[in-house]
This record gives sequence, C-alpha cells and structure tokens, in this order.
Amino acid sequence: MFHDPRDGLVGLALAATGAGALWIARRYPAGTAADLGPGFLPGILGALLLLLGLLMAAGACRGPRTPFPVLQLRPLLAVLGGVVLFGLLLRSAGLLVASSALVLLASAGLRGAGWRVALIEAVVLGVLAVAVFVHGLGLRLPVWPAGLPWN
Amino acid sequence: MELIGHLQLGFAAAAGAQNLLACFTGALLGTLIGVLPGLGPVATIALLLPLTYGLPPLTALIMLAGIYYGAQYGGSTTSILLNLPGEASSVVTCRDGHPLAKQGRAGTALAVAALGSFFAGCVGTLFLAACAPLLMRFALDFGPAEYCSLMLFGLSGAVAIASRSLLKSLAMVVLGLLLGLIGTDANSGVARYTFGLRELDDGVGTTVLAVGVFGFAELLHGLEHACRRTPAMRPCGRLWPDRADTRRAVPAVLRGTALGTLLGLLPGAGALLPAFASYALEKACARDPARFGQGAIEGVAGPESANNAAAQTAFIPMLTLGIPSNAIMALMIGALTLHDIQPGPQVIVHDPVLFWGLVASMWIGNAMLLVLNLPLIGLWVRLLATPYRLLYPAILLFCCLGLYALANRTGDLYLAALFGLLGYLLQKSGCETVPLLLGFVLGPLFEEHLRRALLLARGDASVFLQRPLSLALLLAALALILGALSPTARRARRQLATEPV
Repeated sequence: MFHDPRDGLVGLALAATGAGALWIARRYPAGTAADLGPGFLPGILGALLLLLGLLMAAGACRGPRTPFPVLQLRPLLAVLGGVVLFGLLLRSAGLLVASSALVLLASAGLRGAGWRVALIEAVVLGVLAVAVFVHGLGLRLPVWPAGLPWN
Repeated sequence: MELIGHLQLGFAAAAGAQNLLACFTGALLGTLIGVLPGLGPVATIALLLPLTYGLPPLTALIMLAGIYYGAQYGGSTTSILLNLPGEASSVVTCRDGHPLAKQGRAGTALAVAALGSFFAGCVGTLFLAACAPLLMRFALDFGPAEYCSLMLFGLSGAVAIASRSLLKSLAMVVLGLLLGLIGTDANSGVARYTFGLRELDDGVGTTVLAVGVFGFAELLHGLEHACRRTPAMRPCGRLWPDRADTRRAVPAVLRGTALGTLLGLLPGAGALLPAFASYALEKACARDPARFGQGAIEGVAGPESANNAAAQTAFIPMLTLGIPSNAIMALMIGALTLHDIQPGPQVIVHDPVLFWGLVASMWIGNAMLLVLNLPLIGLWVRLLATPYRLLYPAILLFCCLGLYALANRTGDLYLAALFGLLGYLLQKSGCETVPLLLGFVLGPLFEEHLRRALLLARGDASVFLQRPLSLALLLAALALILGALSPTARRARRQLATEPV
C-alpha cells in the first residue's frame, strides 16, 4: 500500500508515539490558561506528533516507488550490545573485564577484522582504561571481578 | 574602549596554561576529526561531552569550541587532496579544490583555504566580541513572551533552513520537545513520561541523548561505510599562491567572510549553508563562471572563509540569548548546564571571564590552527591510513566510561544505547536529528517561559501578539516556514537531498 514503505513506517511509528504521549498525558492535569498544568504541553505535542506522523504516512502512499533501506544488524548489535554488556559487567566483573568485553564485541562489528588484533586491542585498552580512569581520575570502580582473593 | 578592557580580561583568562592546553587539544582534535571522514564535529563533541565534566566550565568550553572551528580547517584538507569531504561543510570545497589538486596546485588551494579560514575566523570573532554585548543589553529586556517567540523562531529556522524534508524536520522538533519534557515537572512535581523509572526523575541528560543519537549513531554509520582503500595522495606543489591567484582569492575571501558572518547568526544555518551560499555568490560574481568546477581558486577561498566565519558567529545567539542555532551550540549549552550555568544574557554580566575568555581563545585557537595546518598537512593526511577498526572500539570505550562517570549510573549507558538505536533508525529513515536535539534542549525552557508569560498576562494568550518584538519574531517564524514551502525552496531542497554528505 505504501509507495515509499520507509516513510510510511516512520510516519506510523511517529504517529503511534504521538498517540502514546497523548494517552499518557491524559493523566496529567492540563491546568488553566493562567496556570498551565503539567499536561498542557505534552497534550499539544502528542497531538501534533500524531498528526504529523499520519501526514507522513499518507504522503508515503503517493509518489515514486522507493525501496526499503538496508539495515545492517551486525554493527548495530556489536556496538549497542557492547555498550549494554559494558554496563552489565562494570560493577560485578570489574572495569578490566567490562572494558575488554566491550572492545572485543565492538570489534566484531566490522566483518573481517582479525580476532587476534581485537584481542590485543581489548587487553591494551582495558589496562589503559584502568590506568586513566581508576588510577588517574580516581573513579571509584572495582578493577577485578568480585570474589577474587586479592580484592 | 570598553572592548579593549574586556579583551584584556579575556586574554588573561585564555592564556592560562590549562586553557592554552585545552585550546590546543581542541584545535588538534578538531583538525584530526576534520581530516578523518566518518566522524564529524557534532559526534566528537557529543562523545567528549562526558569527559569535560571534570574540567572548569571555561576550559571545557574552550576545548569544545576548538573542536568545532578546528574541524572547519581540517575538513578542507581531505576535500582538496582526496576529494573526500571529511566533514559536511567541506562538500563544497571538493568541487574546485580537488580539480586544483589534480592540476598539481594542491598546495595553493590548501594555503588559500587555511589563510582564508584564518582571516574569516578572526573577523567572525571580532564581530562576536563587538556584537554580543549590544545584543546582550537588548536581550536583558526580553520578557517571557519574547523568549517564547524567539524559541519558536529559532525552531522554525532549524526546520526551514537546510532541511531535506519539512514534514520530517517538524516531526523531529516535536519529538525532541516531548523528550525534553521527560522527568519531574518543576512546577507541579508530577513525574512525566518516566514509566516509573527513578533514573528518569531528573529527566534525560543532554549528554546521554547526544552521545546516543549523534555519537553512537555516527559510529554505526561509519561502520557501514568504512572504506578500506587507501586513498591516493596528490603531490602538494608550491604552497604560496602567485599574484594571479591572490588577485582572485582576496575578494572571494572578503565576500565569503561577510556572507558567513551574517549567515552564521541564522538559526539552523550551521556551516553547510554559508558554504553553499558563498559558492553560489562567487559563481554569480565571476566574469567567467565556466571555470567553476574546473579548479577556480575562488570556489575554495569563498566557501572556506564563509564556513569558518559562520562557525564563530554561530556562538552569538547561544551566548547572548541562550538559544542554540545548531547542534554544536545545543551541545555547548549541554556542557554549560552540566556546570549549572544557564547560558543567556546574564552570563556576560555575571561571569564576564567565561564569555571574554572564550572569545579570546578563539583568536588563539585560529592562530594555532594556521600553524597546525599549513606545515603539517602531510602528517594529517597520513593519519587517514589509521584503520577505523582500531579507532572505533577505543572511542566507544572512552565514551562509555565518560558516560558512567557523569553520575556513576549504569542506567545512563542503557539509555544512551537506546538513543543510539533511535538515532540509527532515524538516520536510516532520512529524518534529521539536529532539529530533535534543538527541540530537546529548548523543550523545558519553552514550557517555563510559556507558563510565565501566560501567568503574567493572566491567561490571555494574545500577549504574544500584543508585544511588538514578540509579534515580529512570530511573523518572522511564519515567514521562514512559508518561505520553505515555496517552489524555489522545494527545488533547492530536492537538490540538497541528492547532494552526497
């Protein structure tokens, strides 16, 4: 149905976001003109986003047929997954392990990047991170995994 | 003469060892990322923002500003030598700069670009120093109604100027405003859109959003387009322009500087629009427009001066009014609010060292850049060979650590990852993220001033039309949007959409 499925989907997603914002905002009091409540601006913005999204989706039903853009999952998972993994490991496994894991996983984002180079970089950057942030800047973070005898 | 006293104050602050180092670091980093394609100044500043938290505000600002104008210099180098715009505003420089390099006159083109940028940077900074206090005095009389209208004007500028799709940019502004409202409402104490998460009670940090939407998303973009070929380097040739080149370049530099100085003030202009406008102007002024695209020195001199002049004057609305005119300025505001400084007219009055120190550092930085760029061009170009696959994990790691260090919260990391996903998807869908950031930064400010304006007017919304300045700003905003809907602007946008950036 969409000539431009990309813009169509984006429009629908934005409209859904606007509708969601509007739905949540109904619980916030709108106040009066002289004393605007917390629900006034969210309500207006939600409605505006809903309208703009629908307009965009409607516009995507006309015009030239456009192919859907390619989404590459590999870099996406490597980089954002790396950030999340870093956050999960940081307090429990310590800075050294978390940093190395982030670098290793992020390096996998490019096809054909040798794992040996990535491993060396992971260790080097992990040590560097500990040196700069824990010893240099005094960030209070565990360096080693919890429960190790030398902690 | 007041100006001289102020500048003395500024230079005294900027010449301190820590600030000189910050200025040099910023200029150097800016040059580097200007040279490296795939990492622009917006992403770099976003990624470095968490790390500036530990610095004094002036030092942080000096370094971030250095990155911005340094990138304008560095971007020209790869455009001329490799036909590879290292940075968006250098796209224009490729057109004539690279043909010049092919003729063996790369050195001349580089020297003209650097000298033109230096001249334009100095003039732009002088303009900033002379103009900002005047505008500031004017802005001190602004009431909440004027501020509201000014913000609407700024946002319409961001939507109307240099955007590819009006509808998408408008939606991005609205989405940004909504994201800006997340957190506890200062007036009523109601927690809005927090989904019960305690981490969101104080709202989403500008840094967290910027790192995700600009930093992570740009790293992802770089990964998808990582080029593995080592580009072929052209010999530089002689550096100094001969007399014929000088005669052509000097008027172009002057015109570009004037144009850039004025266009830099416009909301949403960034550095790309001045460069394009200057190129068009040079072509219109030239006796023989056919030379353009074949290696006309004016086509390098004009746009390079224009983008650098604009890079300096873009600070004026941010420093005097507290309104960002582009993404970089929005990030600067983020950097200042990290230190609990709300940019606006009061800053110049209460914290003159911050303002004049930044202004003075711009001269110092521009001089440093001239030295960094001319003799060391070869070194920068060799850096292009640094494999991206070694670079990006390091950037990512230091950015994550900086993000965590902001508030010692791992929640910020997850949130930034989420915004990274959002930024990636928006980029893929052809939505520009700059209006999103501007909306995000202005959202809470807009609501506050709207409330205050209506409270003072006892709920009478016509106050926005009764105050002359407010009315003028609203009309200007309307004119910008209507102008963007005109057929000429539509055609220009279509052209911009096909332009590789």
